[in-house]
Amino acid sequence: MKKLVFFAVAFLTGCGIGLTQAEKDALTPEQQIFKLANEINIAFAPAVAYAQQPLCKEGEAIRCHDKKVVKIFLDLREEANAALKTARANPDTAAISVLTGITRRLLGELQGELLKVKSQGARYDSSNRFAFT
Amino acid sequence: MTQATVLLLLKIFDGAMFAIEHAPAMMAKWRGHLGLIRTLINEQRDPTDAEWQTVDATAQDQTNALRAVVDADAEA
Repeated sequence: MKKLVFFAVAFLTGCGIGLTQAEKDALTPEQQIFKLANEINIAFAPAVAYAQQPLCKEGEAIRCHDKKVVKIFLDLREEANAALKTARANPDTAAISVLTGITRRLLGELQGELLKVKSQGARYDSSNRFAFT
Repeated sequence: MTQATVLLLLKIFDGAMFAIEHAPAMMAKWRGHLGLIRTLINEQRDPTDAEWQTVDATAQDQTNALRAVVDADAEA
């Protein structure tokens, strides 16, 4: 049984590697940039919704944003815009690799900040849901 | 290199080959959230200017919205 799980995990790891490679081969550089631009937009939607909540006042416990976090979101968004602009000006394989790396890092940082925000009880609304909308 | 390591590498290779072989069909299914990309692949074309404009407009709106909040907070 242990052996079976071991080989299944190895096989699935291989599937992941294969899919990543196949996707790279299937998309043109411009399609790849377009896909990343879409992914970035989708990822930033909750960050914008969070930022547009009212500013947190002392003693207020729900539906409020943190100034510092919103500034981080803006910096990440601007960095993503700059990286996309650079890649679009010269859409070759090297530019795509750089853009993919930058995008993964930015989205990782963005998700990290969103998770931190979510983990703060004060940002939950009366229905105990995160108040992004 | 032990026999187990060789078997493991072979299995990873096997998985990668399987994925590459079946990738187009799998990717088409899994790209539901990025429907436009799927359309581009199916139609074998690059995004049009109008499609880029939509994506750019969203990016600009998001940037402006975040900047407006940061500026408003700085004034507050």
